[in-house]
Amino acid sequence: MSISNQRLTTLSVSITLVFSLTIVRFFYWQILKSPEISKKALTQLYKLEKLSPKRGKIYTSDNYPLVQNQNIYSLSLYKPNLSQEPQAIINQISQANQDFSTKDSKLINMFTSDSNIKWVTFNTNFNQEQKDALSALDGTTFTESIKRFYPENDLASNILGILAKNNSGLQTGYGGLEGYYQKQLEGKTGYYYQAKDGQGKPLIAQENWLNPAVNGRNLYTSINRPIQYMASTALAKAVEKYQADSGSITIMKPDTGEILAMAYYDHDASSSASLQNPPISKLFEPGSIFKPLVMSMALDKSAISKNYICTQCNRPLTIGEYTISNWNDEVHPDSSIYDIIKNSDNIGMSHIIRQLGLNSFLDYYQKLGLNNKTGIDLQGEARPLVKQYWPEIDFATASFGQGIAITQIQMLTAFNTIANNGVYVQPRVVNSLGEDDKIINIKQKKQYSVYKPETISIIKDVLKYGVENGTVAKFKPDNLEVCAKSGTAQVAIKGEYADNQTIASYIGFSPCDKPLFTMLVTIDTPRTSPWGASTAAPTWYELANRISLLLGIH
Amino acid sequence: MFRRQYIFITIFIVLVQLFFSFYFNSQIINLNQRYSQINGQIITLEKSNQILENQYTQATSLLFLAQESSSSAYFPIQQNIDLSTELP
Repeated sequence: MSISNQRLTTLSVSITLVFSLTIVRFFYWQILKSPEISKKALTQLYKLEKLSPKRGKIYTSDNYPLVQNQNIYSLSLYKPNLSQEPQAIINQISQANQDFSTKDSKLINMFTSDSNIKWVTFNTNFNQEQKDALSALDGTTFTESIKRFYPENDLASNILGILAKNNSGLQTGYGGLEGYYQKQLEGKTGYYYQAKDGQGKPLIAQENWLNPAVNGRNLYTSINRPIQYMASTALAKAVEKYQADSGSITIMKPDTGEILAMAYYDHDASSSASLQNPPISKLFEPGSIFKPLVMSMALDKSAISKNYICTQCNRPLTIGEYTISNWNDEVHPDSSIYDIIKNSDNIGMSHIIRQLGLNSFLDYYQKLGLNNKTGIDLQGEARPLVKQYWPEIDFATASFGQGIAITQIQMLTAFNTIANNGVYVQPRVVNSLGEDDKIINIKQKKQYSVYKPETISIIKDVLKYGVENGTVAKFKPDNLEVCAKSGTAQVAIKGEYADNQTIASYIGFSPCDKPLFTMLVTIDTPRTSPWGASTAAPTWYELANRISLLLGIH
Repeated sequence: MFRRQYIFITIFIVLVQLFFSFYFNSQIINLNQRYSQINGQIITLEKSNQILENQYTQATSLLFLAQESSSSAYFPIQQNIDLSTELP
């Protein structure tokens, strides 16, 4: 064998060996290690992106959004990346956002004075414009989040509820509509499993998996914006005028139970006021506004007739150690049912409830929904206190709304039964849910008859008579037909009635025949006068007059 | 002669493959870039839309209208308007 042949053989063997080794190595990586490496490659190439849904908006009956969304940004600074002195950067940020230096003063001090603190995230929120202006600064990082935006500011805030972070750091609705419709409003988070290049840019040539986010549903409420606005302003004015602690106004559409307005005003309002909604969450003793309900029960059960005369109304009623008398200690002998309501006669009502009997009273009490929550679609509704035992005195005082504890929405819904020709309708705020282009209507849940039409006809006459001949007649505009009743309830504190605390209220509907609204006004602890007839009633009529103009009743 | 033809065909195929590979790769890169741009534009438009919507609703809110329509916001017209002058 020649030298050249030997060399050729060596070269051939070497090349074959190298190729063989390469093939073995390829076999190892591509066949044996393939599953493991494919998995690693996928995790490096593909990235799972969370797609946040947009939270649903809340609209009034005129399709005006009471709640929308807003992008906000929180700012973080990383000291080693800052191109200028920290204080100089802080000054520039303060110029862009006036609140920054006051809201984050502690963090600013710590960040500028302590050299060990390298990274800080501030509490101040920045809007898009401010973020765009500051993004050019080196060392700044902005994190986006969604916040609720209220075009009408705090209008109907008690109905809307709030959006806040829960224990897991996720945004959740609390109270009112935000809490009740949390599932519908929040939507569904989507996921995008997408191939990305080394710079993080998407590679559309690769196969991607998309599970799109489902945006939250919009809520279309029955809240009438002008009425809500008028109620809020009238209430604030009344609470200040009568030097009261707080007040509430709730207005309902009689035939459907739709809430047209629900306003609450606290004289010492705090920042957490939007979580409070006393018309649904606070129990109160309704007082004399309860009388028409009891009188209707007695008429409906034929316990008394339209011509009933209270022959025992010439003296206070004594039950055991207790004496029932009237608010002004006067007595009204031989009162008719018209006089009993007009004079707000506690003695007369006590005799009427005794004629009715406890079992019938409890039967109607349950039918009027006073034993349970109304089921209104707002989070935070309180459960009423239900008595198991009814001593004779408690039964008698129940006739004029003392010794029972219910919510204002329960009272309004029960009274609305009179306005709605004896038919109970469940109150509600949301009429429909909107999903993209689809509208889902919410059906009326509870609707049933409580009083006979004949009963309603009589009690409407009685209420109308009371309005036109009582002390409140002077507040009533001439062209307005009203069926209403005033009330002044004492406030029980630790089992005893407070001397100087009352809840003044006025409840009614207009017009009497085919009412367009039922309204309850309550003023908590008015100091200029404790009586409902001189505080809640004028507020009721002032507002009713304006609502009537708006709804075209005149 | 025969071997030269083979070599030529092989080289030609490799060049064609290289050409297509570069051409479509650049297409993919361009499309990717366009996709990112459009996506960015959509997000920016959505954000500006939301800002405008918020500004519009705030400007048409009853609260804002009530503030704007308060009597203090108006001032009397100082000049007299001569209604006798005919417009040209």
